[in-house]
Amino acid sequence: MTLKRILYAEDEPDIQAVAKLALEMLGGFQVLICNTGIEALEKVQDFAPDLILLDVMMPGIDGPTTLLRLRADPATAGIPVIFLTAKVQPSEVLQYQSMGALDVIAKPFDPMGLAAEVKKIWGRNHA
Amino acid sequence: MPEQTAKAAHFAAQLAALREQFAHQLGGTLDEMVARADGHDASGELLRELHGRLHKLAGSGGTFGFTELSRQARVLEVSAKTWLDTNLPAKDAWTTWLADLQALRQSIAPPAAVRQPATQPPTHGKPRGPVRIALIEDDPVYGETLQLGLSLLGYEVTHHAGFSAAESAILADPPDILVAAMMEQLPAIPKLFERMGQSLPTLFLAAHSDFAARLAVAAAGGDAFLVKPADAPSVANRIEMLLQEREMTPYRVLIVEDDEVLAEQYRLALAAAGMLAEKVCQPQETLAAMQNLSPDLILMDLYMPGCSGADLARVIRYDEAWTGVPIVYLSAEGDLDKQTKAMDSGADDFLTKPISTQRLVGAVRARAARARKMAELMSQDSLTGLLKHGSIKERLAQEFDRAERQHKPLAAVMVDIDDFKRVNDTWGHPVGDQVIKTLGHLLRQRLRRQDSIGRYGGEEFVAVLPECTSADAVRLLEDIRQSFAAVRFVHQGEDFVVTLSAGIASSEHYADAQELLAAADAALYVAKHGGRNQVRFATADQVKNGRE
Repeated sequence: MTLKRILYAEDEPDIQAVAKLALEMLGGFQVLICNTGIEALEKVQDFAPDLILLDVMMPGIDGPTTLLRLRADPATAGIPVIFLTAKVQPSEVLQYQSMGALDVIAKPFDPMGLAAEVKKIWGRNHA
Repeated sequence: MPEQTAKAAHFAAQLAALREQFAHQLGGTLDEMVARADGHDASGELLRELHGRLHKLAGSGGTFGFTELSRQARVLEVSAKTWLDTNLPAKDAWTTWLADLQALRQSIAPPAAVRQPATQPPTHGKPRGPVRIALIEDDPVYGETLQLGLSLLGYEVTHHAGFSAAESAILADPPDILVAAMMEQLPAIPKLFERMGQSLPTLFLAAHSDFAARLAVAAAGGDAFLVKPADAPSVANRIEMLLQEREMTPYRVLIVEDDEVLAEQYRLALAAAGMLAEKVCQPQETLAAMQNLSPDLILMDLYMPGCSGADLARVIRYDEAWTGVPIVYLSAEGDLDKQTKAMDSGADDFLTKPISTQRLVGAVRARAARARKMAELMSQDSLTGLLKHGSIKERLAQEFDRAERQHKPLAAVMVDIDDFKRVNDTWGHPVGDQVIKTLGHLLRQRLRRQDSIGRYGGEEFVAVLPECTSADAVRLLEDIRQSFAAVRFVHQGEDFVVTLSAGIASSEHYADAQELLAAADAALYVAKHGGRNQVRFATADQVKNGRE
């Protein structure tokens, strides 16, 4: 299965702009940016992404809570999720993976390398 | 993989623009944080807010390559988080932390005010400054020919015969764009940019078009590539493309908010971020304000006395001209159902109060940018990037009404390329297109920021010049006519010139935009019949006698 559509929930406008640009221009993906976890939950079914990227620290419901709600709904339970976070203590990575996240990408990410990193994680899990 | 390389280069350029924007706002962001914390005791609420802001700063800063800033913000963030999780800091620790925050602020140079046209007040009546080009070329004949050709098209060109002379001149007074034709000097250019602390859009003129030359240019960070001897119109064309990528006119935002203090606060925040924001505190004044400002986006309070935001949004949408402008509600309404319902009436988005300045600016900018891109795609002519037929007529009507209200003269100009069919027949359609594009660039260079230009028909252009007397308009067009006639187009080793005719009319003598345009058209007709290559001003009887 090839990766085409990515939904990314992130509250910081600067990061939104860079990530969208990087994923679209360098990765060739279709990208939907959501400002909050709530917005991601509202739009996920319509957009039907192949992959979801979640910022961990967001106002309202945070990334992990968003993941739990995605998992609670059968329609969205199967969509793979990658967290983007500045908190990359090994214990936290383990905790995210135990929640069912594919992987964690450390913030700040390198804009030139983001699309490649997403592809690499996707390839590892969908080879 | 040239396509991949091009994509990466394009991405890098866009990223650089975003980075510049981030850098520009950095001082303000940190100032806000310092102001928020300074003189206050550490409270849970204050620490939570500062922690959130520092977290974002560390993340964005790192992404944009501000490594040291990101690291320091992260250190401050971690301290704040530790205090939040355990005990509030002792007085000494808090004082030290504040000093570190201030030191971080000090480490950021104040934003450069000079090169930020967006933050300056609108320059009504002042001509748009010409684009300044530094040209480096050791072949004196080609260098001077190109310098002359570009000057005729309205650019301000400094020609340097050698790199070392160019280097000191550029360091002393950076131009807007660099055109370099000396390939052996390629590697020196990135070093020059490093010393300047900024990179300039760069166009290389190479002696050969082979792959090695292109690769060398790409490695030196060149933004564009042409083969010598490119004529001035082709060089101008590439320059315009490069500038378009970098240039951004300020977003126009209308704020509709009955709380005057809050409205002013939003207005200041958006203005500080380089946007042109106006506020309306009486909902019934909204439509008039929209006519005046022609906003890219409307920011609207959801609950106002006498009129709900939803009703006002519907009223705005009644007007066909405003069906495309995004409306964003701003309200304390946290209920998702109510938010969704409010948006049914034609609004596009919802921001919840209270909102931080940074978030407001970011949210507004992102939406305005998208709206403008959409509007451009719908209204711009694909060949010239100028307004399309329908859009320039619409603009003329708007400006006519505004001129009447303000009792200021408005000039309408019709420009037509002489014997254009002959150009197409002799040199082919691609060359004809080049001629049209060149005239488009010339008009854009010479007209002022508040003027509008549209491609009216095949080789016919319309310009709308607000607050411009007929004498000024005639002088301007006469100057443009002479410049255009002096431009040498080169095709397959042969060169040729093209001329234009123009008709001008002033709004004072006409009842509406349609009459005004018909008068300009009649004056153009007179110019054509008077032997072409001339500018004519419409007199009242020409309107009657001219073609309608």
